[in-house]
Amino acid sequence: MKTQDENAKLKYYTASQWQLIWWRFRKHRLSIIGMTILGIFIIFALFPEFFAPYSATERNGESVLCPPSKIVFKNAEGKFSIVPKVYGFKRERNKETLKMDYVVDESNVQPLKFFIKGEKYKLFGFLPGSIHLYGVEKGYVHLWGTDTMARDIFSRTIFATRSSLSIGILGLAIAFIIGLLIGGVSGYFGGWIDNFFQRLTEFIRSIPTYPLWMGVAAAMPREWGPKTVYFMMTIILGFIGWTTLARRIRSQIISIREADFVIAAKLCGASDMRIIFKHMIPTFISYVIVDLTISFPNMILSETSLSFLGLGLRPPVTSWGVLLKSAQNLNSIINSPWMFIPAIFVILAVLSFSFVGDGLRDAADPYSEKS
Amino acid sequence: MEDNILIVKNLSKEFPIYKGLLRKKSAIVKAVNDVSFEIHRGETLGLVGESGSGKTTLGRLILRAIEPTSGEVTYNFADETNVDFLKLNKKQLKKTRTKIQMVFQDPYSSLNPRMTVRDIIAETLVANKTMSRSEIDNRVREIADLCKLNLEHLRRFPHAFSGGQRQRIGIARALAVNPEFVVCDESVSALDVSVQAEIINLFKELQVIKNITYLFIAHDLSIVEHISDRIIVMYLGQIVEEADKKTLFENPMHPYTEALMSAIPEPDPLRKMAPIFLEGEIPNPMNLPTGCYFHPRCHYATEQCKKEMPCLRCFGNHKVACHRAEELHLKQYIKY
Amino acid sequence: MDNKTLLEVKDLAIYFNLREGVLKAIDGISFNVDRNSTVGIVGESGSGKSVTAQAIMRILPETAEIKTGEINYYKDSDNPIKIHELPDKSPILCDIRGKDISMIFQEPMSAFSPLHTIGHQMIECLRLHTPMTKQEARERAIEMLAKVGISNPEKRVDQYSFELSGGMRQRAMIAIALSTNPSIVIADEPTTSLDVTIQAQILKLMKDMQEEFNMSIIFITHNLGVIAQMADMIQVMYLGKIMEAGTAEEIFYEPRHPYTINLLKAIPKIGSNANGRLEAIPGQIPGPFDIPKGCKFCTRCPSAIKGLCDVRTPELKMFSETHSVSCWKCLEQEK
Repeated sequence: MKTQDENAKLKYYTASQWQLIWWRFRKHRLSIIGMTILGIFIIFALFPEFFAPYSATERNGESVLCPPSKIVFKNAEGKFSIVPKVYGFKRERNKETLKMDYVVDESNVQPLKFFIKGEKYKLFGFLPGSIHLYGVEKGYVHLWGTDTMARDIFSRTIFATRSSLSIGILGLAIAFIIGLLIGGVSGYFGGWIDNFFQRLTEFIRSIPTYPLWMGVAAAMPREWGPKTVYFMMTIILGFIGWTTLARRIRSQIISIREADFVIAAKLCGASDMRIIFKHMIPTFISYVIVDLTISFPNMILSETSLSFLGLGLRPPVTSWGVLLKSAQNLNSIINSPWMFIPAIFVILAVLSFSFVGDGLRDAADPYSEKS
Repeated sequence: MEDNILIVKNLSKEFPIYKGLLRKKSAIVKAVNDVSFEIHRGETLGLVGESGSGKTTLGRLILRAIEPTSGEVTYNFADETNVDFLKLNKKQLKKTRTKIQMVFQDPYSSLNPRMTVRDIIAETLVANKTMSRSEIDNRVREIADLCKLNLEHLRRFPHAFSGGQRQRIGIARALAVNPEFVVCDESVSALDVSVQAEIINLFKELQVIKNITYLFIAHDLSIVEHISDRIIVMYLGQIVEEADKKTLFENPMHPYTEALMSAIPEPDPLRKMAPIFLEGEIPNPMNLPTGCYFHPRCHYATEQCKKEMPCLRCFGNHKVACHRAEELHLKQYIKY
Repeated sequence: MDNKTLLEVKDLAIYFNLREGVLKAIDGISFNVDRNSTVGIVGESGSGKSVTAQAIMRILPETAEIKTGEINYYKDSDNPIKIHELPDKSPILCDIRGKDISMIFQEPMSAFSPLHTIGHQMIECLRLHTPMTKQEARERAIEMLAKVGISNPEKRVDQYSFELSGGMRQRAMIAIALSTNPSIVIADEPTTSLDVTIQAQILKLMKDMQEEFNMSIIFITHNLGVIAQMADMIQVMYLGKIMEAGTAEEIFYEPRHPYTINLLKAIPKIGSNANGRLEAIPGQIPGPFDIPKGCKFCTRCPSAIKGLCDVRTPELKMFSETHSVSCWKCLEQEK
């Protein structure tokens, strides 16, 4: 009993900062949930070809705006069965409105199959494969319905996760590098250098973001391909997003520039670079990571809003914003509400990042509690 | 001629105060004001003073943790190299830093929480790149052992230690490179009474083993008295009195020293202290008085004190900065 | 209960329920505060001396819990007010706190609100506890500031706390604490952040004020010199227990508990044995979650008896009417 206790203590004493952070972080239930959701999203973003039954552009013939498929756990006799089955749809003209309506076709029952062979794809652009997570052998299954061009919304959302997350990560990476550089230089050297960068930061912060984005987006030539636009988007988001980070890093550096352990390092004969990278940055990097996590939703939301406004990514590239843009008319609100399902992804992603950020913020300073 | 390890001449440090958007220099704080003294090899020199006296700044200036405004700092090391410390370039400075080290006041903020004890102690050795990894490891173990740290604890992070043990780590860091001169800046004042004594003893033991010279900065006179051979008293950035400790306590010659000693609370309920109260408070260092800086609070001040600044005068080994040093017969500290 | 006792702390235990476990900040302490006397509580970090003060004022943090014990305040000699039983927001408690028992903190900067002038805060406090008008309260505030030796009190009363120096701020703090004429003032390390010369002034001021206002002082400090100068009765605390209690003379001249004896040896004394070693207490103060069983000092005690000291809590042994020691060795010697 006692040795167990001592082992636990020894583990605590020799624990590095990241271990301590993790031990505190895992006590936050919401953060753990958030982290799980993000993990799933990232897996989606890495292997969308596998999770989506169809590619983002595949069309199901005539099935425009088809509602979500009905899934039942019944066998032919109407009893419960573990194998899920999907009903197909029949198109019928509504006799009153003269509109084409989808009616569940009870005769067309397809078992939903997992790890099914389907459309061929290349994972990461070079690994050939054809296995999909689920699918049906004959016809189509649309868990979340189809859009105006008869494309499977679930598949498109999965593919959109990739572009939306990657835009956020790339944008943040750019913002992080600029912020670290400008904040670090500004804080460590002080004086007129600091003054100059601070005024620059203020200038950039004072520009209203939406008009700026709209201006930049309008300036992008229409003839640029969707891929170029995609890269430009990330760069723009990064170049605007660094200001908060730079400020955070600057203030952290200033606050520990005169700390005893930094002076001690100086007296040990450590070089400027060694002091900054070995002694200073590790002490606050956890806070910077918290900031990164918390500003991640902003990046995603910026992309989503821009694309929604039609200024960002354009089809055929899919992103959450692009998906939502196609849902932005009265007709789809009334007649095909499933077009809004991708919004759930946006909400989940933003909330998850916030929860993870909150948990990290509480855990980031593992030394606030004395042993 | 005394064998001096450190000679400080006319050392000053001014901190400009900037105001407003355009950062106009609005005032100057003279933290250390024209200070000269020597430290003999192998001794412990105590430096006392209240807050605002500039004692901490002085300690950092002579290590160039802060760059002085003017003055000279010369080290004479045991290998008979004389070093004009303020004129060294970066490379020479790095080399000299292996001979002079510092132990800090706050055992919590002076250790990097992100480094293990081993890495903290090894930092000077690593930064100087003269030793292999295994040599460094051996050296760290040797010095940790000397500072009575448990060798099994070297892998731990500072958060696992209490104040006293942390201070041992700080001492081990300072001693890892075998320095000849160590500045101890209030190194025991943040510790609990029962732990303090052990650290004071450790300082003394190490001094004997390694032949270290200490500059021991503190505000607590009884600790300074215990550990030092000579004592310097500072007030508002200047030295007001300097003497060996016995002389200082038996025969203080500066009214400020007298007041300081009378205010020591004796750990003896039957000997109530009879403090000499100073009038007012320490003046604002941005707006120093004319003449002797101490005159507005001094009971013995004359017209001369208000006008002329006294210089530090020698009476044998006893130095005092007071116009009336000869005529005043000040109260000695009772115990002697 | 005799007429002398003003405050009685009986078998008080305060536990903190923290995420890491239960922290026993105070573990059964008893002492009395007599009228017009000074009780000194001396201890190192983790001894629970500040928690004792907070418990008497009932300003404990939310995680703390009064596990056992009583705090009886004898406002009138026979009918004690049971402070420990009063509900958190009871009007009696509010009345006692600040009026009958007031407190002087270590850091006067944080004890004052930076948003209000010193006078404003004094007037507020006075009007809460007395039926004074605003004008009367202001006059009283100025009078008090003058009493504690603040020059130019008419001007100072309208200043903010950050405009005063450390010593002046502590004087103003004392003025506030005394303005309602309390019968007990709890001073928690009131001079720790001050310079020696200022400390001497503040200590003198507190003594003068005690004489003038006829109050009792509970003086909490880690500084043995200060406690010797200030206290009539001394409680030596270590890890939430009172190790030894007695008059100042008894503690400093006839210490019985190994902790007290060693603590007194460990402090450097001017003029004694130049360059000699100090007799240090070996080891470290145990962390709050590693508090030893039995006698709390057993891990560092040079005369600890194995199998006894580290197993059972020693009983209290009285050496005189005032001098009590909690140590097995002292009990054994008697046999």
